[in-house]
Amino acid sequence: MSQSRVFDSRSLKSRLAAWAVFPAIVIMTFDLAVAYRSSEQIATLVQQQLLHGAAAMISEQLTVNEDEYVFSIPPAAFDLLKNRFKDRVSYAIHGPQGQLIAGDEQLPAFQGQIGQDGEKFFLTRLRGEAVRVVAYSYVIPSSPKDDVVVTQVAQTLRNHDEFRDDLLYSTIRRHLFLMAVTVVFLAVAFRWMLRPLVEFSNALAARQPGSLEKLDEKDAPSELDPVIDAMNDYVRRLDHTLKSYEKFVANTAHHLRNSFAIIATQVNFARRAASSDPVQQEVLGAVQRTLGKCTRVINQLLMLASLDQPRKSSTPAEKTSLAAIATSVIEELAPLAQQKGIELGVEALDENAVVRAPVRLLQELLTNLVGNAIQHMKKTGQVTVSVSLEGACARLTVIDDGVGIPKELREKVFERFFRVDEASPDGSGLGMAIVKEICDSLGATISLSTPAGGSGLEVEVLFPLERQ
Amino acid sequence: MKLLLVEDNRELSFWMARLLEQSGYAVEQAFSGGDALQFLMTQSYDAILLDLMLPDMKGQVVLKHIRGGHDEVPVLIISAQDALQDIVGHLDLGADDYLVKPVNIVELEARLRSLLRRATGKTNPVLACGGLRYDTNSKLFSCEGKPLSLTPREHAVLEALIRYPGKTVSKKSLADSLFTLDDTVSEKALEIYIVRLRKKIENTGAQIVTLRGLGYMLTAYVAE
Repeated sequence: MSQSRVFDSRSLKSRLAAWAVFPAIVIMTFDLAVAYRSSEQIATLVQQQLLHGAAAMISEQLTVNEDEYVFSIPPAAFDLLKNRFKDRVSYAIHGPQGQLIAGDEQLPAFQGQIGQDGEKFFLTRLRGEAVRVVAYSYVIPSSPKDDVVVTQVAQTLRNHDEFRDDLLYSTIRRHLFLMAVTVVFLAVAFRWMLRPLVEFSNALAARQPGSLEKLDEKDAPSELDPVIDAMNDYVRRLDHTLKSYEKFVANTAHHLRNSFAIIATQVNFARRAASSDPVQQEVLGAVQRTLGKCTRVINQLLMLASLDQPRKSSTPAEKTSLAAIATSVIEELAPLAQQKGIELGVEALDENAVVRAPVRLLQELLTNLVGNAIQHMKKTGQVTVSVSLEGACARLTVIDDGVGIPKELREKVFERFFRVDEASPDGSGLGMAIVKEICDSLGATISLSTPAGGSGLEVEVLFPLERQ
Repeated sequence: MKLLLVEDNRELSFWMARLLEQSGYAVEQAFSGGDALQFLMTQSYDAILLDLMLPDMKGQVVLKHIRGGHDEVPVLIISAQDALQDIVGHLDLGADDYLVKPVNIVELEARLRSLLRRATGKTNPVLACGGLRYDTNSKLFSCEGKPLSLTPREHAVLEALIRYPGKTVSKKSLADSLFTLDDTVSEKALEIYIVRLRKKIENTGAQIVTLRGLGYMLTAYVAE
């Protein structure tokens, strides 16, 4: 969902990746530590073998001739230790009493115990560089007293270190390769395996808001079946609830309206049959007016209830001329405006402003807007309707020069039963809510502002035009 | 005048019938579509008042039956607002007019009168708006029997207006109606006639409403 975040702890992909990659990293780290140790061991072993070989070769050249040690350096011994890293090699042979027989005097005599023909390896420093030394004890065969000498051969660690690092790097390279292969395959596998899930959520996201369609579980992976079943069950129950709600509203409205119709007829009858007693006539007239208002509220509630219904994807609505609707609504409301001393008029009526919308809804919308403007004027003034084309929209405006609506209340007027002027006896507070719902259902946008004149209210509705 | 009232709510039907009888109509009541069709087989009526929501069948079906039998009896539909969504459709099916519940009795009787007039073939020579009457034969305006005295131009303007009560007549077509009298009629002059006319019809229950940008409209004055 959030492409911007590299790691989303709620994403299945991220979690799976974490669970696959994290242990791999731990194992690799451990393995690398082990590999480092074994590389070190191998490199050391190799150096020790070479040192041993060299020490043995050197020792074997030693002979005793009349208490004099005779010694010659065998070049092969040094060839053995020669390498491209130019390791420095030193040797020293010490006699039984620790006297230096031959070699490097910087190499001190070996102090420890070595068994006959035994050897000891150790690390020390020689001329400021780390060296590995072999101390090799040798019994000179030609000596009468079986003289034991200790031959030490020291070699710097350059080759050893290089060799060890080579071993280690090759291990690391193998690991990295393995890791890369794993990651690539994981990525492919996730994509492949999680695709149905992604498609499922895309399909869900593409549904119309308020849609009560059932989900198709044919192509979805079986793991999603419970989700789809639950969802469909929910949709089914919701559908059922809404249907019974709809039925309830329709029945209630029918009963209420019938009762009102009866009362209205009775009042009509009474007014005619009544004596010319002015008080009686006044009361009956008032009853009739109240009935009119109640009927209007019931009709408004019904309108709201029908607008609340989930939008059914029915056939597209007919093409309707906004100008024609505006004219008929103005004609209908003209007597009311006249009575209140309000001048009703139009500024421009573009005949080309044709929108796809049911006549009934547009009529209701305009009646509410113009009716509101007339009702809330509170003084004589003007109400102006205009219809025009503006880019890809049909623009309808209703402007009055009345008291207007304070900025902070403008969003609230779309709430049901909200009334700007609580004291006003007219209006149910449903008109603008209906207007808003109609706009929503037609995909139109509505905005309130102060007209250029500086006082009053300008209501602008923008209807999207059909693309040709 | 004999009427058939098709309305399933008995109480409403009773009171509507009483009201209409008070006005001198003979009213027969049918409480279902079936009843209505049965009555229609044996009786003939001058007009039918038809509710659309009936328990056994829709009012539309009743209407189809009536028209299918080539019965030209005028039918006035009286129904709730939301049942009237497809008004054009009902008028196409053969209804002559419609009213929304709850019905204003004055309105109902006015519509009924005009329906009956049309049906009897006598197109009423008298046009009316509020208390204002215009006899198209004698070309005289009157109110409560008293003739209204108008100049020829005022007469022409008012005549153009009363032909379409409740509808806007554009300034241009009003000016056109004066064309035979004046060669050129300025809008200014038209406004003067309107002002004078307003004074003259002040007490007739009709009024001329200005709809800025659209034109003028003659409409009955409604008391609050």
